[in-house]
Amino acid sequence: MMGKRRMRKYSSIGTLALFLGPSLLIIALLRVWPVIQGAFIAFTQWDGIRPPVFNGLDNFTRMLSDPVLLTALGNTGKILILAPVWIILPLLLAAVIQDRIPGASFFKISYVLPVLVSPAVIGVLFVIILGPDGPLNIVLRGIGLGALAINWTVDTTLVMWIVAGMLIWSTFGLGVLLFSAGLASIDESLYEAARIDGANWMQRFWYVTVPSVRGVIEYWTVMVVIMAFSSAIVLGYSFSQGGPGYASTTVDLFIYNQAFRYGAPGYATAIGITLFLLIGILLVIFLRVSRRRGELMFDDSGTPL
Amino acid sequence: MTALLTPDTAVEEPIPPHRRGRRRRPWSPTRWVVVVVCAAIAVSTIYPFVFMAFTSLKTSRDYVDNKLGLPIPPTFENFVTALTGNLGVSFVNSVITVGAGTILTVILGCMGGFAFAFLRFPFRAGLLRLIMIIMVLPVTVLIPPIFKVILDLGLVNTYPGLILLYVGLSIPAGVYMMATFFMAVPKELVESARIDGASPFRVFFNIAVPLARPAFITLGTFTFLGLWNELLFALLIMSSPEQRTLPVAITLLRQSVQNPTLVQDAIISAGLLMSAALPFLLFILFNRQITQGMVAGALK
Repeated sequence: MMGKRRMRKYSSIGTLALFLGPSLLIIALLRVWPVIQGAFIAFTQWDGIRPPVFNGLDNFTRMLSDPVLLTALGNTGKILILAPVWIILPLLLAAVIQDRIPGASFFKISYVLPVLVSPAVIGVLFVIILGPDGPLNIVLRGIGLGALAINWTVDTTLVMWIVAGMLIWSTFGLGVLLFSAGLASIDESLYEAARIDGANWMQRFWYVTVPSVRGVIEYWTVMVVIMAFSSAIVLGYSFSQGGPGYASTTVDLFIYNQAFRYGAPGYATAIGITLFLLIGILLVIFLRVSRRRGELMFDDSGTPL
Repeated sequence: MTALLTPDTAVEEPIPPHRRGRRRRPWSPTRWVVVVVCAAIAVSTIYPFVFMAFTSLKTSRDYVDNKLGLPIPPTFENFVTALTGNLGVSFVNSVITVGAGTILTVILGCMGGFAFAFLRFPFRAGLLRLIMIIMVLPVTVLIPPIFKVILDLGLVNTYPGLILLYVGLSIPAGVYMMATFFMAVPKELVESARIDGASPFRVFFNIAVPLARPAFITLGTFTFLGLWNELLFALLIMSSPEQRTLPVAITLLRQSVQNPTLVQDAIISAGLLMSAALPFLLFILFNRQITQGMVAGALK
């Protein structure tokens, strides 16, 4: 105790508990505790019914020799191969929209439509659209490309690329929104100066636009990588149930199926926790390197409430 | 692609007086190509939903006869079939769970955000940073251990179970968005009340809540959209047919058809439209707020 007239440093416990308590409790219960408990479950055999039994590194050795997990990782890898398109396409679209091409705001709104709808709806809708006698094949036959009218949903080599394409199709609009917001804050005089220097569109894009929205590009890249590992699951589930075989089972869907279809939630948790921690480490490294977060403006003047 | 996107800039038109700000570009052929490419992508994002809406308005016969045609005359029999079947119940279930989850997220998020902006406690900055990280990290890879929490609480197959989970999914973003909102509020607004000796509750109800009304709409619409579209947890937590939410019902309806015949396509389309209509409507009404919610975080 430093003296009676010392200024209070913190708000009272009661006030804090009331305002902060509920949300922190829920976050702790549903977002933090599962990670901690999951880290323990990863070292156990757990069937979801009986209590988990410690089995050392069994889950991890099983991971290393599981051909289906390898297939699933390969499928997620196919999404990652397309990541450059997923990153650059929205940036290019936002840049040309920013240039006030005719119909710019209409384009922006139409690109957002798939973002608004449930991936479950998109998956089911594309089952109909890509069906053997669905609209895509009708159009293909109608324009004399009947040879291309195959049964899209059951083609083992194509199906994963279709799921990856659906994932990009249903999220690139979000990227367009992010980049548009970033582009709106670029000082127009930079473009003016570049134009006077005789820079063409591509040069202005590369030397003015890209450096100005570097922060957004970094952020979107992180989002794209996270989505690649965690967002194909609903599309895969509703479009093709991960099949045929395991042809469209991405790693997130593999975890889900292991836990709830093949009765190995302990093994599934081990994979999930590993993936979660890897993504978490990458994210923390990114936040450290980019150093643009955390400058939160707390104002600590006066007596606390 | 690069060559296509390089409009000729040698000829610059003078800026017409009625146009403020950005200048108008000359009408070069490359510019037209850009517009055509943009339009083609727009067709790809719009047409599937138009097809969905048309199909839902056709009788099964009309659909089989002419899949791409206009629904003339339109029929609502698919919606009647869907609503009187399980999809009607599912729609109500979705409204209940997502509505409750959204309202709780906004209330608790507002309180938590208020605490981060105006109250003082140890590890405040670190805690908010942690919440931001939790917000960004994916949930889908942790579904088994998260589901175990609901299981251990004995809340499987209950509405409170799914609602609690939904609050858990959206509360990190709720707290983070409200905290950044309140931190941007001019301190003078709170300072005078503070000098007058107002309690935190007075400040909260008389100053913070009225100020935060626009933020409520942003957070509310954003949260609602995310939860309305959620499939995987709803599938696990509400497994009995009369408890299913709309995304679950639609997915299972499609999968239950062993030999997908075209007859079901029209009814399924009606279900899809029931699920998609609300997000589209919200986006029309709250375009600016939803966009704000989506880009929040990217520009910080």
